[in-house]
Amino acid sequence: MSNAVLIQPDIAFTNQIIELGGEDVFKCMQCATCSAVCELSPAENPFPRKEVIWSQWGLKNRLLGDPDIWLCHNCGDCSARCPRGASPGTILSAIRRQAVWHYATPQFLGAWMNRAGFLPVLILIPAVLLLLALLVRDPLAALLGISSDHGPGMQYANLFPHWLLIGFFTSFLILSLVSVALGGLRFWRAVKRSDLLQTEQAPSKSLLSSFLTVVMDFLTHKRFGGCTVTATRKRAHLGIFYGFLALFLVSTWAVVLLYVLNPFMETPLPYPFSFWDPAKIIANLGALALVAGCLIAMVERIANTKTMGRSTEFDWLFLGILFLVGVTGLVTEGLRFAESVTAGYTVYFIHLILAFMLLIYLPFSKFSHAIYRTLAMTYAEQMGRRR
Amino acid sequence: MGSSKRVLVVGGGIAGISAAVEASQAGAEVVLIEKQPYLGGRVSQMNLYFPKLCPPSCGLEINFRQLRNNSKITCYTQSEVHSISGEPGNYTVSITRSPRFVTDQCTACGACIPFCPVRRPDPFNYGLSQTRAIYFPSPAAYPPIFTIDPIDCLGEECSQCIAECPNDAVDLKMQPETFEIEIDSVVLATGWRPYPPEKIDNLGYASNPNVITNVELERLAAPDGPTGGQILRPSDQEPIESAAFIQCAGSRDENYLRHCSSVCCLASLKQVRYIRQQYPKAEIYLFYIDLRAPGRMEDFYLEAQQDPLLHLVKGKVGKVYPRNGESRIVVEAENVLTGRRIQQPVDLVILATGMVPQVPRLSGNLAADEHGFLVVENAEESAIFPAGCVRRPVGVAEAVRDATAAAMKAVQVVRG
Repeated sequence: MSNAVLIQPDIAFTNQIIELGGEDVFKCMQCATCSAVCELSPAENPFPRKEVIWSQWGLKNRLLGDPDIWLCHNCGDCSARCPRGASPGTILSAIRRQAVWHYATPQFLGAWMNRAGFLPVLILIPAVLLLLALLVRDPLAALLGISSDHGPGMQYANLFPHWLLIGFFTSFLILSLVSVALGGLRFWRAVKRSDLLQTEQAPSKSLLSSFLTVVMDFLTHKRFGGCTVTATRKRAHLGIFYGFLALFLVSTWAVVLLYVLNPFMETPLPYPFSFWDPAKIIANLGALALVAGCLIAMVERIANTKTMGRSTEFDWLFLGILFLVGVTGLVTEGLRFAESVTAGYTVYFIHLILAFMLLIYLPFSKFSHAIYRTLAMTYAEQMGRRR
Repeated sequence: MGSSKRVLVVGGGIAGISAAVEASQAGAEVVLIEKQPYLGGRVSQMNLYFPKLCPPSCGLEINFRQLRNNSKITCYTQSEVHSISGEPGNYTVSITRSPRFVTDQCTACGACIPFCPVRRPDPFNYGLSQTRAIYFPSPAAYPPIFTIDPIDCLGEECSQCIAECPNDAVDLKMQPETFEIEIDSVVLATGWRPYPPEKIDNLGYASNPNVITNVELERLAAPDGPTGGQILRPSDQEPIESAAFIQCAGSRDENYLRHCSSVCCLASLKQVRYIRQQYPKAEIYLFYIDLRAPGRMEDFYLEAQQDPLLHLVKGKVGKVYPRNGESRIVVEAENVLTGRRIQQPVDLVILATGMVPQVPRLSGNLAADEHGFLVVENAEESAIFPAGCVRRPVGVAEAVRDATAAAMKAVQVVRG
């Protein structure tokens, strides 16, 4: 070969891929059926065949800086056609899981996220933090001179006043976003450094217009439409995506309402929202979409192991939290309307623990795909690597 | 030595015929039975042998002559075994012979043919042509007379062939007959059948007439085949400008056929020559996972590499689909050596499908491996010896060697 490359295999990395779900990686015989059947794989250096041999060889740096692992939507076309049952889709999932762990800060949380047995710790952290917040609630309110009285009737704000809840979540969310931004930055640098094509070709599109194209794709879920063997995945992800977006926007609106608009209004807009408030309707529909999407995704994962591959605790943790956040949110709301105080506060507290796990563990969980995938797809769009 | 050994050979293909001839030459009484109305099996459907590239009639005719001139061999075509009971040296075999509906009076004059109103796909040509319900089953028909397809024939209400036959050779009242024979040992040479290509749903066989299999190409290239040996595009019978071979079509694939049939690589390289001979300027693509040309077969492979218009592409084809508004078909694969995805339009696609062991349905279990190929059992417990492609997917030469070995075991069985 004219351009000989000295390969430095990282066996530990290969073993970790095997451990994190890619246990069939050595079944691959490099026939390349996977790259040929994939609807998303580009014409030059298509995936996932090359990623599988890189995994066998333990080429850690190449894989961690490989944007292609994030172009894969794990629709399972490759795994269904794989003649050896090597399940390339699952291997790519395992590599993504590795990448998330690798880029996450602080590292110990990433390790906890990936070790079965640490789940109780992951639940205890928000539980303890939320209890601490409750302990400091009254002294802090006295110190800041805020009234803790939120009026008559059952109001969750009587447990967690808005200022405490928002202050608590915002501070942790900022930490989480800083962490994932750091991860994203390191990933972007790695992508640039490894330069998959090794041809130093100039980007064919500007960064901004590439990003906007990718966002438009997200909104329409166009890429998901290419999957042939698991058509329900698009529906599931659409439900989760728009459900989450709706809930996120309504929550933001509530904060804006409480702290930006209402202080300046003669007659403050009502909060909590009434059942028929447009914001509440959107939130309820969003929650239903989220729960339905999660249900479809979970059924798919259980029923379709051949195409979906084996689901790992990493998949279940994210999907499970999303699902439970939706369910406990709806139950919390229901119990408020039913004025069931004890049950209401209990479920609400659980809901807050789950919401914490969803948002604050974002950089370490599968949720971080929102960042890495966006970056990788933007890069691919820029370099003309998307079909 | 007492009376001579009695050996049953099941299967009248190249392995079965070889076993029968060898056993008889070693002094055994042989009964050879064949399911089809002709002898020669899959070999007689080939265009050329590999690697010598001579027509199959070469080897077959020598064997047929040995069969005919040999009083120790009794041959039944259109017959099947349905039970073997007993022990080594003392087996009772039950055989059913299907009616041929044509007697030995037939001279194969063909007077009946134009009057038969039925047209059926010719299995000998893998359905690429048609025959009437009364037909000459193959160039190696044994006995060399016509036969009638019992399913497609309209029966006695029609009787056109009876009216037209100058020799009164048609008898639509013939019944199947079942009889038993006593033998010492059995050679099972029931051979193989091509893997059903329509099962491999991403390779377009069922939906596109220009996607054919390797065995079908043998018929298209054979002088006695449906096109008189001309390789034409099945959809419109036009000459081709390009072709693509898809190796391991369904083979080495746990979704379809798990094993490697060992001969398809070289068979395709042989078939490249068929096309090259007729089309010196055709672009030929051969997509492979890895080309298996062991031992001296490598020479054949090296020679193929000299063909500048033969493109050997490392990468399994994942998709085959028609090109919009054209009769050409696109095959899609990743070229592993260049890391580039290719969509290659071609006129003809040949699926190199593998060999499925054709195991006879017998009462009592025959020992088989994980892929369904029969395995040789301890000779003290069983004197039923599988040979040829029912034991292992092999080429003609290997099948003949294997059959000889099985025949030698069969004649040495010691009576309990």
